[in-house]
Amino acid sequence: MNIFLPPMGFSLEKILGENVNQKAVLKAADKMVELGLVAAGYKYLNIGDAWCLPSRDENGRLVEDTSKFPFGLKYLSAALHAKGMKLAITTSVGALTPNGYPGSLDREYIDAETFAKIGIDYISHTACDIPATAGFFTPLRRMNMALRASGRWVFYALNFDHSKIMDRMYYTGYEWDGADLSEYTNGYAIEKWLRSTGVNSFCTKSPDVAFDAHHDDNIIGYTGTQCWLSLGDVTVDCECSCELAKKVSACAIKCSPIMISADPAKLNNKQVEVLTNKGMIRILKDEESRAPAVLKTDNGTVYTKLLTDREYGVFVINDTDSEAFVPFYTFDFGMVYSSNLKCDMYDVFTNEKHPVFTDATRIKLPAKGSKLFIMKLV
Amino acid sequence: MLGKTPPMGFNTWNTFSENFNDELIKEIADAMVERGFKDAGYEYVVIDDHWEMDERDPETGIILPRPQKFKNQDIKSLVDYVHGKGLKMGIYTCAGVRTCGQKAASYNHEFFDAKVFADWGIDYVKHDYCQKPETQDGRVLMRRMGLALRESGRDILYAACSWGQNDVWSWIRSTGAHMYRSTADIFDSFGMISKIYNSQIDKLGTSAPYCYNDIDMLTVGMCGKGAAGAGSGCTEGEYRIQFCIWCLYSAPLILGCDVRKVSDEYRDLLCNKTLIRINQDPEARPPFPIGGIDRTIYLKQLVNDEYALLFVNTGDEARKLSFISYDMGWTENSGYKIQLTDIFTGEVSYHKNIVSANVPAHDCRMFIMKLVK
Repeated sequence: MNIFLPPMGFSLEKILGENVNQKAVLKAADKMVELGLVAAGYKYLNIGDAWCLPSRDENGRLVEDTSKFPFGLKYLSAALHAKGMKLAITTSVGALTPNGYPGSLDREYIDAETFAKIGIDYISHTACDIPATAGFFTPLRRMNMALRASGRWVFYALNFDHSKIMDRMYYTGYEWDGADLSEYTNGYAIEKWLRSTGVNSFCTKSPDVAFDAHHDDNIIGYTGTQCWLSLGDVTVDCECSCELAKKVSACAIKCSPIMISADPAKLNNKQVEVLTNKGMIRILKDEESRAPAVLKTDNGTVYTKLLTDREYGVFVINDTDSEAFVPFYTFDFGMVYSSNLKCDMYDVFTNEKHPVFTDATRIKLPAKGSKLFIMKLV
Repeated sequence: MLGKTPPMGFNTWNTFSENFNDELIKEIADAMVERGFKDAGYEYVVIDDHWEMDERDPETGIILPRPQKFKNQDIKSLVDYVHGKGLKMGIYTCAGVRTCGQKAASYNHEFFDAKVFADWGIDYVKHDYCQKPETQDGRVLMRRMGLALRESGRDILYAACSWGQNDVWSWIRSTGAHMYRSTADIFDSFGMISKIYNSQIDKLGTSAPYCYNDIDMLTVGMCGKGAAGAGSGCTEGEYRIQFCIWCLYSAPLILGCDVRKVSDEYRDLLCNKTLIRINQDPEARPPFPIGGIDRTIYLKQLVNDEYALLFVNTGDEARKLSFISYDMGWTENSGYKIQLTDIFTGEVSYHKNIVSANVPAHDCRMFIMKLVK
């Protein structure tokens, strides 16, 4: 089924790696159901790229590794669907996947047929191991065309390291024949065309680089319905919930799909509360998927996102290394004295009401800390 | 939900500029219903600049309509009439201290004016960009109107009009705008029309549901008549190119011709069901140019497994235009062949390595494309 709101899920790619297997995947899925994560919207489960054999068969098809999945992936996808979940895998634009399994380059059509047959709902299509002479956009378009022709709708997520692809553009010859290559030096020429390729989301940073809430601030205008700009997988690096809250808040305010790279069994109660927070999810799943305004202020950044039903998402980050006040000036947001309106907002994670203000307010935050609010104008 | 698909309607500017009144607008509304435009999806009747008084009313602070154009300065009756026809009403204001036509404008009064518009039953506001203080960041003015309309008490479509200034594509979605002008004003000559659409071919990456790149009002059917948007006129093939491009771009479709008088042939083109379906596609994906030295072939992904394919020939002689199928993502080993259905004739053709079409001079061919076994 085609979807028009950013998806949410978990990725076991880095958790299970080569040891991915049916038992572990279904155990994680059951945990996600038990913790209320699936009910909250975390439907997708990415099992990575190690589900198949390292070589294709004599017909060039991917072969499910039955030592890991005794009943194959069709059994797994059916089991997930029965829980209200969806199956995701990691694939490659190029010749090899991130962990050295067969990539889809030049095999997009038979791979799309395989995916349709086994019930894949989402591919995390990674731009790695692309031969220098194979282009970039044409393989993307091929996979799109192949998925669409397969008869089964698949969420087509793209991951690429922007700087690596930019270097390659000089070798793609005909595709950019005559293009003014100087536009690549400002870095955003690739993004211009991605919506046209059919991808449903794209992340422009390498998965090896740590999650960064600010990563795509200057191209946030590209996020939009059915082609969302992604901040990448959300890792759970510490026991505290505030770091996790900051990451998912950044995703929510920026309309980025939320994919949690973690073993659900290892989450503590506070972390589960953060992930299932209704206000944060309401901001993410807003029907218009509007990009936020990025308002840089002293000490930090305020993101303001227009929501339906006269609500506004406000995400504030302290970008300094010590406790600080981050100001929010409503003038930058679009309020003006003649509006006769005041700002009334509450912290979505604590439910604490912030004092009502008109022209400005200051949000006290620890070093690198953040807060997410839902605001009404009253 | 407003703006789920590109807005469609009519605007007074191209044909009438300042010469309209409430009686004319009623005739326009009647024609939109009687001639089939409403059934085809055109719902907004928008009055552009010059409806307003030169100054705000000193007692109420309201920008009232001009009495010569609106009897008793009453606009609510006109709005009710338009609503009675099952249509929606649009109006115009400007972010500056005066409109482009030197009339009263909304600078620093955005929230007040939005409430007045809501009170009148307005459904669409065009927000222009003239005469704003030079030292005022224009982006914030566009944000203000976005908030003002949301807080007005009525669902009002927000048509921003800042002509592509200040890198509008990169921030306009965050303002709440449902559409945004990205170029200078259009007029009815093919040189201007092609300049406009060529300028935006690589600026559609940020155009998406709820916020569309607006390449200005259509001139299809004007044929050398009209006011501000008038020009030397275009040939039938050129108007066909214009409408096909506007639909392919998922641009808002705002009629600029006189809907009472436009020929049945151009009415039929403007109401073509397949072209409008392409324009209103739920994914609103931009096309990309493919093949040929001139890159005048465009491919657009539609929802599910269909594509729209447009061949444009701006040359003075008929030509066979073609592209190599591998460049769009087809391969021979896919096992599929490429099926094209001509939107205008219904003719079906099949292609493999090369897809080509014979295109008359100053004209285009438009197809629905599918991969079939």
